[in-house]
Amino acid sequence: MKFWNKLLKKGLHGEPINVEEMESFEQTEALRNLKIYISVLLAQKEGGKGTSVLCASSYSDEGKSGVAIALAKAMSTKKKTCVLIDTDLRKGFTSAHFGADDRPGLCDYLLGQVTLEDVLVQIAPSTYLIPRGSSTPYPYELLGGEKMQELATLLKERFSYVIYDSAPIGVVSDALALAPIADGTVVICRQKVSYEGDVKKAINKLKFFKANVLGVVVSGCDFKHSQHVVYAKK
Amino acid sequence: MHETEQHEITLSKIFQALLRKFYIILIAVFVAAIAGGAFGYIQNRGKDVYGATTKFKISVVSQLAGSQETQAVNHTYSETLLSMITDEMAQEAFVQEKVLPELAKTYQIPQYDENNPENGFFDVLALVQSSIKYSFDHKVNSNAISVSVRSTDKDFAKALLSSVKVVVPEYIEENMIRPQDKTVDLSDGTTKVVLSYHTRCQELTLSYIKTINAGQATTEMIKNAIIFAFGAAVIAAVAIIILDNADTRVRDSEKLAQVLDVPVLASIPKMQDVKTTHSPIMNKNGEKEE
Repeated sequence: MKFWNKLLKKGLHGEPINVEEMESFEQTEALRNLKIYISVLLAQKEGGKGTSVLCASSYSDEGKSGVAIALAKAMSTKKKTCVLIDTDLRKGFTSAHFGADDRPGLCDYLLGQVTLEDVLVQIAPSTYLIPRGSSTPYPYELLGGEKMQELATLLKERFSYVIYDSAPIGVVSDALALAPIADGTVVICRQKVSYEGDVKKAINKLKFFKANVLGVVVSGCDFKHSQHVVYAKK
Repeated sequence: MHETEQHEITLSKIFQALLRKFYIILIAVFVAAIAGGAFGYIQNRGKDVYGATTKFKISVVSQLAGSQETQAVNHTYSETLLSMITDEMAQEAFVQEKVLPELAKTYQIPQYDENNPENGFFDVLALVQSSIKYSFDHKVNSNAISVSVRSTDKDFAKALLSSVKVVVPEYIEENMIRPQDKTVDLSDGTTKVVLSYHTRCQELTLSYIKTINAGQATTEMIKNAIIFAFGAAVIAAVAIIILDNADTRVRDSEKLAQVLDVPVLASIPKMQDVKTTHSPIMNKNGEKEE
């Protein structure tokens, strides 16, 4: 076990990954892979601003929130902080997962009712969450407003990584307001559940709204017979 | 380019699909074999068929002029003649005029009634006609006619066989065309038949009614089970291939990357469900709150 911890913590880019927060060897490796891709595709300059990633999907139950949380934890290190923003102002599953759905959050901040310090919640070392806050009948308008753009800029100055957990694109348009704000977009789909056509539509929609689509993350994969398991058992 | 690739059905894809869903084929085969076997058994259970085949030798005998003795004469009837006589006996008229009166002696059958055609006479007529089959064996110096009787009613089969044994030889002996008698001219200017020929029809085999489909229920059960299982396997395999080809859900990362024309950044295993689980947040001291 010590050997694995040592190996996993070392990482390919020399940046340790938060192994304690991971559920399995396969998950750790997959998130490390994703982290490397994002690091390469959205390379940070020395002393530059942080990078932001939008986690989007066609429909709900495709593992978007789970991946966003795991990615946020994976991206954060002792030196690099990460903030996860629950931009699904309608359902807010991420906020509910951390028991923060009754706390002031993004909606309240965008309405100018609270400060940034009031809405930041620490969920792991170097990892923060901005919950969705109060409910609003105008989520798209709030997310597409100037205040949101100001917040995005502010967060990139303060945090190394900004992860947006969005509402499903195939159902509501809220995530499309965030597409031009985020530096890169990752589309999440679930194995044996999501349809290729739906994922393609979501990507085309995001591209139309000037999103920088980095790629696709497949969640819920079956690793029962994979080389990961074979390798881990050796 | 990508559109073409994704719609190609290769042998490899077919085998992969079949292998992936092999358990469905196994279940289908198992269920179909049981259903087919049960169907075959139930369909044939208790349906015994009784029957017998009797063979008649047809020969030509001659009677010397002025003598009471007869002797067999080597003679072969033509194949056409044998065919004609068997066809005649298979006709409704033969059954009605010859077989039914004989059968009525031992088995109760309705009589023909012009005023009441619905009294079942024609049903019996059709039954008898379909229960008797004729065939012939034509060889040089050897002519034989075989008569087979089949029925699910044992008593009826017995009565029918007895009737057939009586009427068939009679009919053949009466109706087979005799070879021309040989006549000679006498010195007084008259003619005389020297040889007289006639046909003799004798039963060759000792036949009796017996069950001719013993164990048929088991045979049919096995046969149906095999047929149903094979059919189910084929249908299941075809259905799997069609459904697999029609299923466009995300399965293979490489294929997905080809279809979407964007890279697949990661394949993440099943994680805990965010909606049904809870994670603690941290307080200002950096400790996890419950």
